[in-house]
Amino acid sequence: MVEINLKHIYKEYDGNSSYSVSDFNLDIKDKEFIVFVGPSGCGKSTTLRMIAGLEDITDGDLVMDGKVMNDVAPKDRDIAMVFQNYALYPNMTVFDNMGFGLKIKKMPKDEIQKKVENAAEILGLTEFLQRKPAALSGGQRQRVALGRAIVRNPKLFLLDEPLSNLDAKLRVQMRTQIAQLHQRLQTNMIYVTHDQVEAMTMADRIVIMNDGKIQQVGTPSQLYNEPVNKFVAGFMGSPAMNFFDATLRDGHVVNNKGLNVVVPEGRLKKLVDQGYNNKKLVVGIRPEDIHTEQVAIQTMPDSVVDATVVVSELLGVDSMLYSKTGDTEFVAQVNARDYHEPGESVEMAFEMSKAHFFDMDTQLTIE
Amino acid sequence: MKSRKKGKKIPLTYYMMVVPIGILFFIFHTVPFLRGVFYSFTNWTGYGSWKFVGLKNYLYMFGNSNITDAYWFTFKFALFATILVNAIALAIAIGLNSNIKFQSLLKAVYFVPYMLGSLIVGFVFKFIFSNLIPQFGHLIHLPILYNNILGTTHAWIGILIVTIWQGLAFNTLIYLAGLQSVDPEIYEAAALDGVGPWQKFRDITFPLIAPFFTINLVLSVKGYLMVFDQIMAMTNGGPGNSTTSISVEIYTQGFQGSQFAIQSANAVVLFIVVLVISLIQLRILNKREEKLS
Repeated sequence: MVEINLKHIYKEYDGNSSYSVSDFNLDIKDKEFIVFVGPSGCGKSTTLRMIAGLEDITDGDLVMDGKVMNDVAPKDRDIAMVFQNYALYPNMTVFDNMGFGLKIKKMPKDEIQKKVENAAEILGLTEFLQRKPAALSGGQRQRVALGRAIVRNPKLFLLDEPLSNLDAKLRVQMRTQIAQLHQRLQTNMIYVTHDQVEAMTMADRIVIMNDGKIQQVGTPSQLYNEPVNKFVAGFMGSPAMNFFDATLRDGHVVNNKGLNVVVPEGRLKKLVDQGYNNKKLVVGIRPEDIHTEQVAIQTMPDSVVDATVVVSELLGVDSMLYSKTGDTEFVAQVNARDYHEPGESVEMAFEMSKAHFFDMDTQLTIE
Repeated sequence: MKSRKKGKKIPLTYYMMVVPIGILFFIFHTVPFLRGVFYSFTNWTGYGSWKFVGLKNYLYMFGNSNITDAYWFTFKFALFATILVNAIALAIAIGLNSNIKFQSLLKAVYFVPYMLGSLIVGFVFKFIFSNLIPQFGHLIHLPILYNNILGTTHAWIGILIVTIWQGLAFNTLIYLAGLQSVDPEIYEAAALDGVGPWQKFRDITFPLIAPFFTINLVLSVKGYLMVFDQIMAMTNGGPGNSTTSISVEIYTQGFQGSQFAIQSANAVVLFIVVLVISLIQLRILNKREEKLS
């Protein structure tokens, strides 16, 4: 339970000319579940490690509850961290792994016992307490790592890609377990992942990073529905948003490769007002905003394209149609009942009221 | 084995590689060893006629003060050398494994002694002990350094120093390999747990490199129980018999003192002693490791 302020944080490694993290500003409120998300090497883990005290902060202030923590040793920051590779002590039993930190703090034995047993019960580890990590599965190890964090009752949990070594099914299970844990403990958590699904499903707020810089901070729905730039729009959502380089001409967005759809009135006015008429811009539309049902095609007759399905994936509820109109490629996510074979010609409606427009040069969203 | 039973042909290359080495090993290693065992039951002096004497040589050994002294000296030497080499090597390895400047250069420097022959090192140190250190002692007026340590009752300490200096390299290398096999994230977790340096060593580092400790300990004990080169180069077993190790005793008395048969018996006993001690060590240390992993 802590308020954290990261003020103009920079990280520069020796021998690197550019900053690995630059001008990172973030205020984290009490009890918040924050997720840092971004591609590999975007600086999210580095930032987390700076908060943990495992990396020096090159410039800027890390403030916790009003106190600057830059030079405080990791052990004195009252935090617990869960590592990607679990970092369990291989020579100790599950019990000792969880209790070691408390033993170091000279907590009485019976109290350690109580805390460890309590945590083991929450995590379903009771029967494994006397085992060594080598005799546990990946998911069990990860739970031990979580348990080690829980018993310390820290003000802040840091989780560095904790689920990335688990298989898909287990990952979903653990995701729920961590979310439940957060609700139960009401402790701040900062969670690093490169998986936008984890970010979307777990976070109170997401911090999306690229090239060492924060791109956007917001709730999952804000990031999904109102991305501030092309990077955020493309990163959040799976499959990714379709992007087209196009020109705004006579109320249509056109590229010379087969795309020609009408922009709805309201959106068009804004674009024209900002001087994008007859100019190049980037159009983004999410796969789920491209429709094949007759109803949609009838209601949006001005934004219907004749497409050819190239690859078709049936995913149960939905099906993904990797399609082409002229030479323009895109993905449509449609109801599985609208299944189409590869090679079929299909009419598809682009729901342009939900489209996003980005400046060609700055890549920023055109409001 | 299974494939052989099924009649699968073993490739010719296998025989071409294994058979010559097997023959050479047998001729130059197994045959002399068996001959040694054979002669240990005779009264052969290295030439002339001989007859079987049963266990007489073995019984004589235990009554011969030169030989028993050699055993006591060798055990003392091996004990000190093993403990000191391993303690210092572990310390150096931990130092080299931390974030220090010139790490690769230092690793190379510490490894140099291993590449030099022990005889050469012995002769060089003999010169250092007999000439350089006394001169230096006179220069700074420190009487303790005036005498050549190899000529005093502390000669064994001189040999110990050289042995440690040379033995460190290999042990350090093994420990370093062990330390580098430990996931750095574990130390980060320890840092967050607030683990102090001594606890970190005792509860994390040492248990995790236990297998490397076992290798080093067994190899050290075995090597130092058979110490020979350094002593031959520096003191030749003297002054008196004070630095005569078992191997030196076997060599000098066996080849120069017409005790060929007796020293053959001695060699057999040394072989059994080394074998038994090594097996006991492996037994104990492996049990420890099992408990840890």
